[in-house]
Amino acid sequence: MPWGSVLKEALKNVFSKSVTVNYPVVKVEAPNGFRGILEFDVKKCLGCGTCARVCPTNVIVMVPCEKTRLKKAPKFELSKCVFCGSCVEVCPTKAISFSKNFHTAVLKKEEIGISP
Amino acid sequence: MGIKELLEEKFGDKVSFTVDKHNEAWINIPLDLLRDVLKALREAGFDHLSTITGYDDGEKINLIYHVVKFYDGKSETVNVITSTDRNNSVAPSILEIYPSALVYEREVYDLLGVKFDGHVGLKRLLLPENVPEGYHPLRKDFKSGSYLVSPKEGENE
Amino acid sequence: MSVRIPIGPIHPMLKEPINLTFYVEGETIVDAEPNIGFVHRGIEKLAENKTWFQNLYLLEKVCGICSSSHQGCYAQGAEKVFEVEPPEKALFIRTLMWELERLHSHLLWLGVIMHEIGFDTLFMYTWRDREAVMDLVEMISGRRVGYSINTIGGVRRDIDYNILVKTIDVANFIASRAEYYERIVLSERTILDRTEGVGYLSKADAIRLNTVGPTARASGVKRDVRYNMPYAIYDETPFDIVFDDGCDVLARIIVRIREMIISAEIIKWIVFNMPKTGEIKQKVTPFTKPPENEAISRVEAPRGELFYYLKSKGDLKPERVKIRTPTLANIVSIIHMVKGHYIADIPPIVAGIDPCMSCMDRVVIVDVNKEKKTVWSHEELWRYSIKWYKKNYLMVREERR
Repeated sequence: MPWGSVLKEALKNVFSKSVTVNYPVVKVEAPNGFRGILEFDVKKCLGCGTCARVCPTNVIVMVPCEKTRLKKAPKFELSKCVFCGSCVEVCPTKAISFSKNFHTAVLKKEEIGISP
Repeated sequence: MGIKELLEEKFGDKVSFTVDKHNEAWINIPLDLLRDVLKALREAGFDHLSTITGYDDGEKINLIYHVVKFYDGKSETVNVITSTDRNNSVAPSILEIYPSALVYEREVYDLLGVKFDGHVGLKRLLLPENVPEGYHPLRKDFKSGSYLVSPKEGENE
Repeated sequence: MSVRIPIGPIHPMLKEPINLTFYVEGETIVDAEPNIGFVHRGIEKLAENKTWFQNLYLLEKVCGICSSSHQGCYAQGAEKVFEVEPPEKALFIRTLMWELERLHSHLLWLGVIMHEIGFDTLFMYTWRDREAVMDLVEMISGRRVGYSINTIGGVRRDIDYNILVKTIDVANFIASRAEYYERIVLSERTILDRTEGVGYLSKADAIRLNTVGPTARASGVKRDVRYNMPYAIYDETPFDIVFDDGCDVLARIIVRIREMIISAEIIKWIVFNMPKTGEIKQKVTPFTKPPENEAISRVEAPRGELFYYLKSKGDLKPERVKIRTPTLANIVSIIHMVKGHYIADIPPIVAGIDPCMSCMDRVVIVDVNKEKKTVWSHEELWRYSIKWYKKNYLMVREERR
């Protein structure tokens, strides 16, 4: 038959559940190992500054801070982050880590950022 | 390797031939031999031109032509290096030998300022047409921000 | 006397913009001229100001859908410059990501070309099947696009056992769906009328104009970087080169569907033969300086041969990074393919080379005799081409017989 080879599957799909997930109504959880927004624990930080040297988009700036051993701590401007994971890999004390949060929409750029 | 003997027989010692450890062959030639060497390579079966690379090392502008020969389950590649000077950069065009050089030569003219004589319709490829002459971004003495455009008053596109 | 029709640049549906100008006489096309550069971002100049390791994350953003091919090709070239060899398990993981990317890129393209000829059912089905691959890639690497799994000296993440089990299920599912699509494409009259005999590119022309990728393989040219210059694991996998003699748009569809089936087999071979233990990267820190060197790297992206040239001067930053994407090599053949066709054939021909930059937004038709100018959007060109074919399809079928 020169037409209608998709008819069988089309009829099956008319009577089955739709594939779309109603996202804002139905909550969706990211899988393990997802690279979401960064989280920082200032108690583990040494203040070495390696994370600021490897970042490809200049997200991290070292500012003076009293809570670390070398008296410096990173300040993150997360609106520029590309979620590459270089800072997570090079940190010697694992003070930076990924969360599972992917909601990055804000009204002003300063609302998304981490200060020590 | 057959191609080394072929080129040394035709061009003598004006051609210097080396093979590196990843099995790529590199040839250094002066600029006036470019068309003859590429014609000899095309007749020997190297009929695929991958691209034309140009780079500026501060003293002169180097051009590299990458050609490939494909046969059953194997291949051979040859890279031909030549150079031209910065102030009056002209090179012969190879459009009759490899027709796909139509877009590659336009790209080298656009970004490095090398004029290819013999090319039909040599104009800019990537940058907009109303950019002034002498504005070639990949040169080492190029200053970013030296050409700024702002819309005129009342003009709406 | 010919009329000039410019088509381009910006289109919201497809990936990147391009501008094409067609010279027509009546309804038949006489000549064409491409005009590119609307997404030029200066990446080659920017890559000279960042270090070797920071460039990994810049160069994966050249293209959204072949991002792993760009990053893998750069990492392969940089390993030749730094003179390090990645361990074997790293090469298996890198090849697995390349083949998964080929699967979801070909599924997306199949949906797009079916939408261009008006067969929206297959558009919806292929994009639904593609979600299975995207979910798997998100579990392996952490993101759906922009996986960042390569680094200089190996890969950055290891794979779990239960993810490997799920990979086999996904590969079997996609292979069975690809066989179903091949049956539909070869038997459905509406698809064959719009793609058979359209966009003819002979084998001699494909070699003379240096076309690459599935566009060349659909004209009988047996060239593939994985077959002629094997890299990574491809000299050990069960790989058969796919080619067809049709030389038209239908042959390009068939070549890509069969490549999906071969990719599914390569993925299953990789999962069964991956070494269970082993290092995943060499110890190269981000502050190492390479020796003075230059290197060339070639990879078979989903669209064709991708070429990188890297040069180092012994510094932390590269001196020259040169990229040649496969769509630039295929643009020269569009000019050759459209001559003698109708305006209504433009969408399948341009979409048939799988442009990783795309056009088709605003069509300005200038009628020189009447001095009248009408502006159409892509929606209207698309609807015009479907309506024109409904009215004239008997005449076209008689001509092509």
